[in-house]
Amino acid sequence: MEKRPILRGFTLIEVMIFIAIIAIIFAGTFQSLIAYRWIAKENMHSEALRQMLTWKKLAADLPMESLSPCIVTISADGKAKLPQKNIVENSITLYDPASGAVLADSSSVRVDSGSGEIKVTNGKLSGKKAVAKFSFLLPTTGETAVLPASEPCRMSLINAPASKIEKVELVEGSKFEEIPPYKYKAEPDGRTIGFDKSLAGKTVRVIYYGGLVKTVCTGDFLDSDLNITGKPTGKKIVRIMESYNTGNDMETGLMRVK
Amino acid sequence: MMRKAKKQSGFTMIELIIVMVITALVLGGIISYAGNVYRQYRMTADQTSMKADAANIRVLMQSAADEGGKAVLHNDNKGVTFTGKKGTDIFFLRDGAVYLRHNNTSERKLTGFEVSEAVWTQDKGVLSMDVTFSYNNIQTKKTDYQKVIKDVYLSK
Repeated sequence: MEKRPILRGFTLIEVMIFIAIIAIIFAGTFQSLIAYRWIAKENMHSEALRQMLTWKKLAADLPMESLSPCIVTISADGKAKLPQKNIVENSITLYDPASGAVLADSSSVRVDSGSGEIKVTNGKLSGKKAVAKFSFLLPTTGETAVLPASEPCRMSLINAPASKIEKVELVEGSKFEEIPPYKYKAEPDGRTIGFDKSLAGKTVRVIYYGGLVKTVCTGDFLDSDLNITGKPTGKKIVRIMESYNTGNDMETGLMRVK
Repeated sequence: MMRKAKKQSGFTMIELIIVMVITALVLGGIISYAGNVYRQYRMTADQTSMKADAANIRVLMQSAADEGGKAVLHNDNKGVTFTGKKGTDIFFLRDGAVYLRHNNTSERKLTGFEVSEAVWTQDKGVLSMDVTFSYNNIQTKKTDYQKVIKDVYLSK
């Protein structure tokens, strides 16, 4: 009969040493990964923060009536026009100006986001005035670049992909001159804009709606105790948010007094 | 009295080879992963450093504006001059870097990484500086660009 070889496993000490070495290596790698992700996030936040603070500054000079909420008159066919375009879907609520009670929510108000026109499906509101609270998108405050002197005459965007180009301007010192749309075209990926070769070497500014981070503006009327109310008052809180579509939004606000 | 010697068994060649192969695979994976993370980390750290340079320029320009300095853009938009009580501060692009010249007497470089483009614009009381840095991307081993925009709020 043949003798069977003696089988011997690892000792507890050997297994523990192996696990400890692997744990040390992973701990180091994991720490670097956390740091890297934090920095990447911070980079994105700093750009969004700039947009938010600049818009906060600019919103202080916008006409108070052009900001949400505002008073609208609903026509006989249930239509009304909001003072802003690019309305955020399902963001509109109509209030009774006298009582502040909700008259209609977004389920009974259809919005043409591009034009800012609304259509109220509740026929009882036809011909009445209402306080409309809504959210709308703000474009970038402008991104400037010197176009290459030779082709391809392209400019890449930070907050890409751009969902809509609002305006493109030629910059000369402190003057801005609008460039007609046939002289530029956004690439299909929305990350770059191609320009006509006649603009080569020139400085251009692009105002667009970013797809990575969206700047959203909304607001509320405040009563004398600074509580939110549906009734129109002389005080308004304007809110500017940076939305990442991930829930990690940033918000700032300013109070406007008539 | 003579003690009986304990029977000792070592590793076989096959066992050693298997252990070495597994260890090599695990370490290879970890080193490759860690190297990738490190390169990304370095790249992001470089980008953060560029943003910090731009943020410092913004702070300097904002303080020049807050001290009552009147901002005048250069005709080519590659610089801005603040003229105030404390003299003249000129921020401008030259030889791949942004410089600050104070009262035409002293000059200092404000950027560490190479600046391929810097444009200043002014609209609605906001002075914007768009700076594009170029750097060597260690991931792709090519020259890459990082654009940073900073705004300065001018007093009315």
